[in-house]
Amino acid sequence: MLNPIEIEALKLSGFIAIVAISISIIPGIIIAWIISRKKGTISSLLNMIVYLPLVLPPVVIGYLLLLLFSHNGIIGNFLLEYFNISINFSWKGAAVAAAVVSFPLLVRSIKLGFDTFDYKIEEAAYINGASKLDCFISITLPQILPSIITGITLAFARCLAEFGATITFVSNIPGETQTLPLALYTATQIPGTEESAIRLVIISIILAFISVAIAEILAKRTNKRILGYKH
Amino acid sequence: MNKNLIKYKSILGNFKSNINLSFSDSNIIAITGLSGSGKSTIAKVICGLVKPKTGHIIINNKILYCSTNNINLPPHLRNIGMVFQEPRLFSHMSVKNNLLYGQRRNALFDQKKFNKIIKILGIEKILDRNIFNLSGGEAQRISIGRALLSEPKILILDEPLTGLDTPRQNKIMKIIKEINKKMAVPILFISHSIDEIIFIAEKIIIIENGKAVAQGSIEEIISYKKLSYFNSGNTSYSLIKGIIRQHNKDNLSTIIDVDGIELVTKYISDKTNTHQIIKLYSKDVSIATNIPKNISINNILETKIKKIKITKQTGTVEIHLRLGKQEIISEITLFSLQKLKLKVNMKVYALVKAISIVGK
Repeated sequence: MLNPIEIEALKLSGFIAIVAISISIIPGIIIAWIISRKKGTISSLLNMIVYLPLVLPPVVIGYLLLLLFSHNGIIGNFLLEYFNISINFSWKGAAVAAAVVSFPLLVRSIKLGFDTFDYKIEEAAYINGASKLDCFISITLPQILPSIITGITLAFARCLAEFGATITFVSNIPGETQTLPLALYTATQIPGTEESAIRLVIISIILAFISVAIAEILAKRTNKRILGYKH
Repeated sequence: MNKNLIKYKSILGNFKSNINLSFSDSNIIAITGLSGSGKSTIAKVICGLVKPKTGHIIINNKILYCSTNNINLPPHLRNIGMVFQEPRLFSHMSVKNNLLYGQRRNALFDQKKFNKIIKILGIEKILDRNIFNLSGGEAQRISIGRALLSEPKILILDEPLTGLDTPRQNKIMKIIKEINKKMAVPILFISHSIDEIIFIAEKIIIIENGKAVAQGSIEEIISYKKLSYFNSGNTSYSLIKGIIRQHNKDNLSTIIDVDGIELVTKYISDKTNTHQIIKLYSKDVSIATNIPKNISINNILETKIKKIKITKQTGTVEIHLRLGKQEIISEITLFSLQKLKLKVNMKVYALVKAISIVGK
């Protein structure tokens, strides 16, 4: 059915999306909290920076990442010198690119959760003996779990769809950085691979459909459990 | 002796408070006043949710806040039990986990104490229930239980009965009294409802514009004039003291003696010679210049006008009347005032249509 290159691309897409979400979830929650709760110049500035990848052309992001993470770039040089890590032209770079482009969607959803959360409940937890961190972990996070799940699913879907920043930053290497959209792009560029292109299109549609369905089911369940109503 | 001292000055926006309260026993102390008088601010200051400008807060000999020594304990280290107007339960946890939230953070689990508290609150059967399947009264009882189980040095209840219907209010008021008796924890009960505080409290503190303007037992503060306005809906009333003189089982009535003047009311189950606090709504007191005949009203009292207060905007007039050493208010219209040509010191008859007993 699928040829080895297509299977490889499918696996890689899923793997890169999981890694991307894993590295962005904690910073995502922290930044969403800062933007939602803190008022001030730093918070507003952070808000704008976080949303930039949503409006910038992905090529611009890819090129910026290339500048930052190249061996002469600020971050690339630091990683190479102190940790002997190079993420250029590897799946690690693809994961970073996916994390950056999906970050605004993750933060937006979680911020919405913090915005609509009733902070009076936190006061009750403090008075009951919970420190701020204890309360955040035992009350606030579980209460906004539906928003976190929505954010993760949206970001996951965005990672699967990522093309521009990835191809600019880490190129299109089969088995290393060639995710589904990149494999599809390759298939459309070479004569005689139309069938492969169609198969990849169908997989992409199915994958998108499944992730949206999972998001819906999870959101319904957690909403019912935590907020007491059906979405 | 356990010392509790609440003394602070604070400014929130344009609102200034200057509070100085102290109490040493484990009684129920009620704080009352009009909405916006700064009652709830006291609770927030004690809990540490609001930081006062200067002053000190000592609960159970422990300094929670002291501006001169720069002490300001965070809320979670203050050992305060707090129940808000809304139950503020944690909806992602079961009833039992809600109850144990504060307990787990403050003390070792004590099954006996747990059983005792859930029994007082009457919540044995709903421990495994989901928070969403609780009624308003049940949710508020869980909230009280959560506060009590956190080993508080003081229990603060901030308008805990607002939003509940009367039978549920009565049930929770009885529970609060029982908690005070069985748990030996001082209770600070904040409420605007005079009926609630008379039923519940041994000491009452009246707050006005961020200051305690009167404090004492119910008997002592009853004559505080502005007390009659502390009610939602702006209905004024007067509170007077009386003693049960006589019961009449044939027509189911009771005679109450108010400074030598006899008031007839419907049958009260309390014994003769017990003290009663009577509430007279100003609208239920009419005025006549002569004794009317053939009238259903039983209480026609000879009295003198002490003061006349006219509110031009609404056309209502408050007539303050002497009743023994006490005072009652009659609310009439400007039209009636002019028709009867009422004046201060004039002898009139007060027709009292309804009397309600609010406490002992």
